[in-house]
Amino acid sequence: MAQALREVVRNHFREKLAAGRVVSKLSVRIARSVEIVHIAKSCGFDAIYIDMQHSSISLETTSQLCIAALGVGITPLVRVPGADHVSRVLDGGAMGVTVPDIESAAQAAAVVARCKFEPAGERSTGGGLPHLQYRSWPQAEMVEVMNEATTVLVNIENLAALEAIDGIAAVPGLDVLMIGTNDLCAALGVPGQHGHPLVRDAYRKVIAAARRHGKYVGVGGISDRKLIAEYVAWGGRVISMGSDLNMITSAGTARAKYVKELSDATSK
Amino acid sequence: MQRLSEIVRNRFKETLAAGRVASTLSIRLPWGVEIVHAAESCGFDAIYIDLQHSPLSLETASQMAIAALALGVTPIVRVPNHSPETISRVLDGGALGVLAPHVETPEEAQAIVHAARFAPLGGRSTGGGLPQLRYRHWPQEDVVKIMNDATVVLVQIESPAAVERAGQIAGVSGVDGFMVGANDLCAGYGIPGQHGHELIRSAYARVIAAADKVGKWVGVGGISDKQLIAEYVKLGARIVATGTDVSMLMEAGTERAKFVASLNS
Repeated sequence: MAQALREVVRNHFREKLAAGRVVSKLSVRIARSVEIVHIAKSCGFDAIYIDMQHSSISLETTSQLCIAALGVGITPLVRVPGADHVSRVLDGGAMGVTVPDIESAAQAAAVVARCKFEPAGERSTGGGLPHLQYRSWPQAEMVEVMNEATTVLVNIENLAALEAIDGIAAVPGLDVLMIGTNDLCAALGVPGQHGHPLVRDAYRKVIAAARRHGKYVGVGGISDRKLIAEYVAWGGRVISMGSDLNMITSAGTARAKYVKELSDATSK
Repeated sequence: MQRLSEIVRNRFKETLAAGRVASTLSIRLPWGVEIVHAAESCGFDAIYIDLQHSPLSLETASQMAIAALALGVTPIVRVPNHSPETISRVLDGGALGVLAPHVETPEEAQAIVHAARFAPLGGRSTGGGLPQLRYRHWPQEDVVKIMNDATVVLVQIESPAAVERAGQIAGVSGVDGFMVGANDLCAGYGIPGQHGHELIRSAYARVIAAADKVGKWVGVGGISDKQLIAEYVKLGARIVATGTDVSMLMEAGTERAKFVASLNS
């Protein structure tokens, strides 16, 4: 009868990474309700990535989306606007967070501390977690399973982080170095040039550091498929495939364009 | 001084009146107003806010409609039923048109027109403070005339019985167009999902012929096969419902997730 806690708390995104696979995630920026979670799962994404940094989505909505994702079996990750939001987001049902604009190993370590319960970190235990389906479990078991399941990502997207990359990659408890390609391009003085030699160098550097310390690297902000494939060939493993908003605009633009062309052909 | 007719514009209707084919996007998810801006950027002429097949509230529908008014993409609401209170609240909420499902008789069509148009064309109640007028006051006779002009009334022909009566339904004054709901029509003929079946082709031909006779528009709904859409447009259809927000997410998302999965091989 007793279900093991490990069977309840599954992080498919992390399991797949551990199996050496490439994983995909979909950013949620404009959806406000749980349908998007079911849709993302049906599409085949490994994680949804609720973007609180670049959207007006509230903590309350974030939590509802995360809890839906737990039920559906797609990993809920949240990009927080800053490290102070981490604990409420995780209490709300997220199985991992991304913190933007990390600049140093100390900052990365502070993020890990907020994500993990003692002894791995300093996360406060509030009890009644949605990840546990609100059941009670022995605290020691809960801590072990939740620490294992909670994925910590940091965005590498400025020059300071590049400089400090080896130290950041060495931080215990950190899982993914997510390269924010757009901000990084801006920082390198080559805005929008995702394939620029300077950006390639940065990818090489981050991937090498991640290899040394057994971490994963993420490719973020790139839509050029060839370039994504190239960075994956080098070792990138977590791929951000855009947002709900740009899926609507890309599919929608194609459909509206089709009708317009039909209209042009018809009125000739 | 801006004229009322400049404020109350219906791009969807203007596109059709110019002899062009108009595109619509159906909204089924309870988004915020962002979806309306996205739809406008995509290039759609109208949004169909679908209250028939979604959990969207009237409140959300109204917020989307008001956003659409400001952007110039025409807000049309597919109502869940024909009740005059539903139709009038949707229009009071900012819609510039209604799409009524499952219309089978001219009497039903007549009742919908009555609910959607102000006297003398109908019996719509005047509540005042309309978002379409940007909440300003205008002489009532101008309001009535311009709102009646700008409001489109579309009915869905989606059963064999409705196709039989296409001529009579088309004759109802105050109805602007007919969306042929291919899926329900297929089901009605006992050929589920066969959008290109001979019975559906002849239904389109029949509805288009009836509409042409009285200078009204016909729309293609529920079909994703582009070749088939083009064929029905060639027959004379002028409105193309391009699908829902859900199907766009599924289409773009599945393709993207597949791409990442393919990187494993």
